[in-house]
Order: sequence, then C-alpha cells, then structure tokens
Amino acid sequence: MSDEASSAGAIDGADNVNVRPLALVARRERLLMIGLFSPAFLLMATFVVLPIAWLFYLSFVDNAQFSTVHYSRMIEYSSYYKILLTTLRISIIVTVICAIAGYPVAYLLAQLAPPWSIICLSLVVIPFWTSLLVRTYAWLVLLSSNGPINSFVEWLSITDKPLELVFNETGTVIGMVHVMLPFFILPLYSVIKSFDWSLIQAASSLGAPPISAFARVFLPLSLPGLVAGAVLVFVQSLGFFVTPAVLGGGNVTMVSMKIASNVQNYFEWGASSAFGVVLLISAFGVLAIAARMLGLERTFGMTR
Amino acid sequence: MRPAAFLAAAVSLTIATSAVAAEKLSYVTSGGVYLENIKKAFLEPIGKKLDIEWTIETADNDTQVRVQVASGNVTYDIVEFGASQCALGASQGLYEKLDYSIINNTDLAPGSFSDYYVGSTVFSIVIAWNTKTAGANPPQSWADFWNTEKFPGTRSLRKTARGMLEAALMADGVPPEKVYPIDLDRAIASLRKIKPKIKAWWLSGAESQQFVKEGGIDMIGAFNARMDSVASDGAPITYTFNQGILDFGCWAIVKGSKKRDLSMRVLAEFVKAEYQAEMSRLSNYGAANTKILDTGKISPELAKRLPTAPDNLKRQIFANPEWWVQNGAKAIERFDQFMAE
Repeated sequence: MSDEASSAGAIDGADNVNVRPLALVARRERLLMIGLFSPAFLLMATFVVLPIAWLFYLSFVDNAQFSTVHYSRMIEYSSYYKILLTTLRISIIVTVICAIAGYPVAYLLAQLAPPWSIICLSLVVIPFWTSLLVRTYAWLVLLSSNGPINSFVEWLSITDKPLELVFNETGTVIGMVHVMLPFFILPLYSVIKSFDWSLIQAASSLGAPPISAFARVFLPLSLPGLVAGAVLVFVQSLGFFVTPAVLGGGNVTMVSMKIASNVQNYFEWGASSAFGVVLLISAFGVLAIAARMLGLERTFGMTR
Repeated sequence: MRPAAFLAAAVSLTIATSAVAAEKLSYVTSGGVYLENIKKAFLEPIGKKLDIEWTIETADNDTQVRVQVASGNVTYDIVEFGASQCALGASQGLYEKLDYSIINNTDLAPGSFSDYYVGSTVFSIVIAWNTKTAGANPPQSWADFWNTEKFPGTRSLRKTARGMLEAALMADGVPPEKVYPIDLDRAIASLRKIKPKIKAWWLSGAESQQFVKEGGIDMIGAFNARMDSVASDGAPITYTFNQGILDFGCWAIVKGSKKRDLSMRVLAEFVKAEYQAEMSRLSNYGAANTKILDTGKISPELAKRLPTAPDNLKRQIFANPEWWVQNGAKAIERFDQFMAE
C-alpha cells in the first residue's frame, strides 16, 4: 500500500509534499486492519492451533513419558494403513460426486427467478434441519435388499439378484453424498450468484460458442466456489462416523471409528491422537497434491 | 433494605431451602428404552426413598469418565456400563473402591461384582433368526451359524472382539467350558471363514434391530432383549439361548465423585432383589441378584425367558472379565486388524 502511495506521489511529481501524510495514513490503516483481525486470530489460536498442538503433544506420550509407541503400533498393524486409505478414498469419491452432482444444481439455482430460487434453495437447505441419524437410517431402509429401490429394480427385471447397495462402500458413499451435497452447493452458489453475466455476453460477442464461453470464462471464474465447496466436503468427509457405521454395515472402517475404538481400548489418549495426527497430515498432503495438479495455488493463496 | 439485613435474609433463605431440597446425584447410562426402564425400576423409587434429585446423562462408553478423571473435574457420580468397560476402567483407576459393609453382595451372582463395580442387568448375545426366511431350518449353535450351506441366509454379527471371539471358537468346535483362555489365532481364523458371508456387522443395539427389521438380515448374533423388543413390535424374529454369551451391565462410582458416600448408599439399594426384579419385569433382562424370583414380581412365563433362568444359564457361557482386562487391548487390536483385511 505504501508502494502505491509513493508511486501516486511520483506521478503527481510536483506534489511530493503528500507522500509522508499518505504513508502515515497507510500505516494507520494497516494497524487498524491488524487490530480488526486480532479477535479472529486469537479465536483461531485458542480453539484451533492450541488444541492441534496439544493433540500432537499427546500422541508422543505414554505412561507420562516421551514415547513413539503409538506410532510404532500403526506400523505393526497394517489395519491402520488400510483404514487411512479407505478414509481418503471414500472422501475423494464423495467430493468428486458432490462436484459433478452439485455444480449443475448451483448453476441452476443462480439462474432461477425469486419465487423458484427460494423454493429450490430451501429444498437444498432443509436436509440440514433433519437429524443425521434419521437420514442415515432412512437410507438403510431405501437401499436394503428388500427396500423400495431394489423392489423397483426387480419389477423392471433388470437383474435377477437384488443390487448390493448397502452394507458396503456404495451405501456409505450414497449416504455421505446426501449429507455433504449442501456443503458443496452453498459456497458455489454464492460465487455464481455474484458472477458478472456481461462477461458471457462479451465472450459471445467476440465469437465464442456457448461451450467455450462456459469452459473458458464461466468455469475459471467459478473456481473459487468450486474449490471452497470441494475442500469443505473433503475435510468433513474425513471425520465421518455415523454414516459409515450404519450404511457400511461394519464392512467399512473409517479413521474416526478406529479412533473411537482406541479411546475405549487404551488408557492413553495418544493411541487415538496419533492416528488423528496422521489423518491431519495426510489430509494436508492430499490437498497440496490436488492444488498442484489443478493449478489452484492462486485460489488457495499459496503463491502470489 | 440495608445491606446487612439483606444478607441475613438471603442467608436464612438459603438455609431454609437447603433443608428441604433433595440432594443432587448424577446417573449415567446408555439411553433409549433401557434408560426408561432404569428410571422406572431404580431411579424413581430410590430417589423418593433417599430424597435424591437425579441428574441423568446418557453415554454409550466411558470416554467422558476418562476425561473427567484425567482433568480432575468430576461431575459424574454413578455410571452404568458394560462389564468389559467397568473391569477395564477399574484396572486403570477410574472408579472408587466399593464398601461391601454397606452394599450387601451375598445374593449377587459370583463374578458379577468386584472391588470396584457391581452387576446390574444380565444380557446375552444369542443366535436369532427371521422366522419367515430361516424359520424352517433355524441354526441351533454357532457351528450352525457358521455353516452357510446347511443354513442358507444373510447373516450379521457384532463388530466387537468381545463375544465374537467366543462365538468363533465355539463354531470351530471348542467346547463352551474350554473357550477361556481364548486362542486368538484360532478365533480369528474361524472368523475369517465366516466373514465373506457376513452381510453386515452391527455396532449399537439399535443397529442390530434395524438390520433384522429393515436390512434384510436372516440370522444375527444379537442381544436377547433387543430381539425380544423387535419381536414385540411385530417383526418375525426369534432366538435360542444355546451357546449364548452372557455379559452384564455394572454400576461404578467415578473416582473423585463429590457424592461418594451417598452413591455408596444408592448402590446398596440398587443391588436389592425388589428393584432388580422390577427391571427384569420391565425389560426382559436378567439380573445380577439371584433372588429376583423370590420377590413374586416375575411371572413363570417371564422367568423362562430370562437369560438367567436356570434352564437358560446351563446352555450359555459367561464372558470372562478377567481375561478381557488382561488381554483386551491385544484382542481388540487383532479384531480391528481382521476387520480391515
């Protein structure tokens, strides 16, 4: 900002007298910004950074002594590695499906005129107000081998055996997508809603057919919403417990379930927090790889 | 009003109210129908008798107890969990030592109490089946349950090491009295044989009920009273006590409870036959107190259906808390490893 102030002074040339007061204003503004930012910073430090540091510390404690036993246990039993892979795989699949299913919905929502846009938006939001457990058990009924979906498929006589829709990863993913979809749609919707549609008109007037206007103008500009939604969905999916427990029918074990099992199994918190630390690091790893592959460094603010 | 006078009035008011107010005591157990029955059978009558105002909280496991004991900020007084959690918690110093000069344990089933906990209800993991789909040829032992050719149908088991390792050994031909000490390798190898045929593994009792009601499960290893409850809702479910694996609920006083003495007096009431009989009458669970039939509250028909009825006891085995305290961590880790295979 001070660069701008001095260059503005340089352009004015004759009016060098303004440079110092402008720099002062800029400095005061920066201090004010830091002041405004500090409550949020304190909140984050107290409720996010500190607990994570504590989690990290606990994972190295056994019998009140420094120990790596909680990490070596994870190497000794390959189940930890498999559970971590399952968790990451399911979270990625759920995120991709949410993106494919949610993008058109958010696009449509942003296009609709008031009465319909409000109705459709509330249809997206209403599931938020229903108990997660109720929704999960509802899916159990819908997807079971003698449930309505399989009865319909049977009636169509597509297959002679009922589809295996539940008590496996398929059921888990279906249930999780249903829970996560609003988390993807809402941030994307808010970005698309504020999109400047004259840019599309400009693209068409310059001869872009609709598809390339969408792919080269609309899609890149909606990317921040898409990324925000995807990160929200991915990160929340990593911690799912109820949905995989019920719809996975015990055949799907995710990290949170093993963490719960370890809390009860071992007296040491470290047995659980070590796995939490590994999950956290893996999640950052996946996000970093995804950011690099998709060239999203700018969206994440990693580079300038 | 002058400050001094106000203060005096306030103090006398406090004294007056505290003289009549019931003492508060917290009670923690799992929720649902079980809690409703616990309230009717124990909390309401005993609360009235000892002038206690209950603060009831629900928890399926002892995580909160661990947090409270570790932080020194104990708000729980009496907790009720499964025996495995009481035994493990006792070995880790989560509970107060019980005073058996106050609590009368003469009528309690051997093995249902220890220095740190005392038994509440007795339940059993039994072999249950859908009478419509598997009723013509129901499984009568864990070996039958494991035999998918002679006994076709979809199956479900509990996703816990405790109980399932015992079932797996009996299925593999180990006689019930030789199940302990558990041969982990043999139990896991036996579970490996049935795993491809297990459509779903349940974690909570409510899940096991949903699985047989809506999930298309034909045979299940599940808690007897849970299956009674779905059957009374009209689901075509029945079960056998053959090779059932008995386990019990237990009460303990959280270490550092500010109401330790009152809690001890409450436990002395909890173990009495009259209250435990009422619980059995309401819930179909058995009781740690062996004299519940003498109270006259249990009808002969119900007596036959309880897991603790002499005819049923003969056909079942008790899960061994000592084995689980000593070997639980390793057994659970092996079971989780097996589930992730």
